[in-house]
Parts: sequence; structure tokens; C-alpha cells
Amino acid sequence: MKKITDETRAEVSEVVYGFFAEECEVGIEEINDDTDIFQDLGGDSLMFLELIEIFKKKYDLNIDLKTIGKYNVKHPVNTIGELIKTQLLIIEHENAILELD
Amino acid sequence: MKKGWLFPAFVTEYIGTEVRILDFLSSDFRDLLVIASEIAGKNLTDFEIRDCNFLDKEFENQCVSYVFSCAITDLLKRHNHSADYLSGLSMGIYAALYAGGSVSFEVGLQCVKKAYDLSINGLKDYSFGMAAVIGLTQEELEAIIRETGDNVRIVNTNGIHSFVISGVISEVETAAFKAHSEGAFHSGLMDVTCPYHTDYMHEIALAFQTYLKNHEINDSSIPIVSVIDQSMITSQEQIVNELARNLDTKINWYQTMLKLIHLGVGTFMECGAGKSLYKIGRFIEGEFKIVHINKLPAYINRFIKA
Repeated sequence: MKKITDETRAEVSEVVYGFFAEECEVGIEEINDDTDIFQDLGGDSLMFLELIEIFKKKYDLNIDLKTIGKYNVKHPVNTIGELIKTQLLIIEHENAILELD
Repeated sequence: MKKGWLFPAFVTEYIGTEVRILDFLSSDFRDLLVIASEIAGKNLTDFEIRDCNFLDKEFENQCVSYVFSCAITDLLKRHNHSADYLSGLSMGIYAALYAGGSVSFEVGLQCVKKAYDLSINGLKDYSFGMAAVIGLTQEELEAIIRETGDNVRIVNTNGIHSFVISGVISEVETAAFKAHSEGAFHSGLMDVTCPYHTDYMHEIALAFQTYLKNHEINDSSIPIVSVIDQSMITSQEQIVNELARNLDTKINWYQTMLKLIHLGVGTFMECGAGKSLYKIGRFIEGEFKIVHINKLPAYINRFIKA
């Protein structure tokens, strides 16, 4: 289990905001934690996958997509804030994320 | 560095800026919609993105997708841009042929119409469909399909975690549902009623091949990379064969992209509405970039200045 620090939270938030600003071609100032990824940004599930891959490399995570997908089925993500929260849980718990239920 | 032009299949999602960009750059899109309406026997001329016109109308969507691709191709050519290689995902092959000079705009669209008519009229025994499944490996998806039945297949691999399945609709739905509960991030039905790229289409493919032999299809001036076996296609005979096989044979976009990258393509232009190929490309390894329609004006201007 990895320890989540304030620095980790800031890093994850920065990556997520930057990612959606670039991919969805919107100003970063137009995004906040309540922004709906699908309705407001036109995002999609491929973006979730790409972010997971980014964080997998960045934090050397031991995760497999199927496990994260199963967690996602029970805890669907719609907003930027929910996505950041889920990413932090993935970083903290890796494949053990399913045990949180 | 070589350039490749990629042609998406039918549109699943618009960015929203497509028509504005094309109308700003030329009248090609509107002009081609008029011609397409006559050939298709459908009024496509009042197409508006904001209404998401035709996303749920299979044939109209195919026609408009073809028009978008051809309009972008015309724009690129008019600005002296050229490609070293072409490739079209699924029915994107028709626009690739237009770009290679193998077919006229009219003949290309007639082929789209004929393939659709043959498919709709030739598939009467069952209801069919297709679905996208994202987030599982091929082995994981194959296991789900084995449990589901004999009437659904993986028909396209877009990446190591991205697939399209096709077959009898009840089994496609079951497999898609199971995939989601097994951890797929996305598994959803597509607005398609034909089991493209499966053996259910075999008789239709044979009839289509006969039709194609009587139409004006020429060699392509630009090599086309086959989405079926990644071979290089240029001759009329190869093209006719590829068009027919495109209906009843599984395809592999992932391997097609890897082949193009291996051939030295560093810049791809996605010639179509939306940015589906750009999105798929984010999961394909290699040093390359895909330019989608939102970047088309800047791309053309940069090229002119260069």
C-alpha cells in the first residue's frame, strides 16, 4: 500500500486537469472538480484507460485493468473530482482496491 | 518522414466543429452532399452537426461519413498535400479508394450503397449487431465469447485492450453485458444492424464482388494497407478482392497502424469526422502523431508556409 501525501494529491490533480484540457481542447481554467467528463468535456472511457496507464508508469503500480474495471463498475466515475479520487485509491491500494468493498 | 492518410468507418461521435471547419475552408462538403443525396436517394443536404443527424441511421451515416472523408481529401489535395500510404478502417476503405484515385466520388458512394443494400436484403434470418468492448485483453474477451455461444466473434482489434465484436444481436448483447461485469471500462452496442466482418456476410460478399467487377474501379495511385492482412494493395484486382473480403473477414486496425509506422509513417491525417482514430492511436506504441479535423486548418496552413 502506497502512502498518499499532499504532494501525490497535487501531482494527480495536475496530471488529470492537464490531460483533459489537452485532450478535450478546453482551457484548464474551464475545468473544476465538478466538471462532468462526458457531458461537459465530451470525454470517453478510452481516456480513463490512458490515465490509468499514465499513473501506472508514473507510480510503478501493480494493477491490471480488469480489476480496476470491476471497481469502476461498482463506483462509476462521471466528474473530474470523482476521477481524481478513484486514481488516488488506485495508487494507494493497487489491485487490492476491490477489497475496499 | 512519410505521411499516411487514415479513413475512419462511420461516425460514432462528432467533435462538433467539423462542418464549420469544412465550410470555412471550401464548399466541397456542401457540394458533395448534393451529389451524394442524388446517388443515395436520401436528402443529406440539410445535414447539421448540432442535431447529430444520422448517427442512428445506418445508411445515411455511412454516406455522410464518406462525404466528410472525401471533402477532407479534396482539401488536402488542393493544397498540394499528398500521402505515401492510405488505409481505411472498415467502410473507410471506400474513401481511401477515392483518395488513391481508384474510384470517382460517385462510384465510391455507389459501392457504399450497394454493399448496404445487399447486406440489408440478404440478412433475414436473424437480427444482428456489433459492439465495442474496451478494457479487457483478447484472452479475457475470448473467454467471455466462448461462454456466450457460437454466434458472436471478435471482428476488429483496435489495440491490446480495445475490440469490436459482431454477430447475432442477442449474443452480442450478452457478451457485451458480461464484458462490462467482468471489468471492461466500456462495452456498448453500435448503431449497426449488419454483422460486418463475419462469415454471416459471406454470400453478400460474393454478390458484392460480382457487382464490383462490372464497375469502374482502377488501380490506386497510392498504396493502400489492407486492414485484413496488412498487405499492400494497389491493383484493381487486389482492390476488388479487398472490398469483398472487407464485408466477411475480420480486420485488425492495431496491426495496420503498426505496419504503417514500420513503413516509416510519422504523421497521419485522420480524414473524417470525429477523432475516433486519433483516440485509438493513443494506445498504439511508436513515434507518430495523428492530426484530426480540428487541427486541419492549422495543418494546411503550416504545409503551405513550409
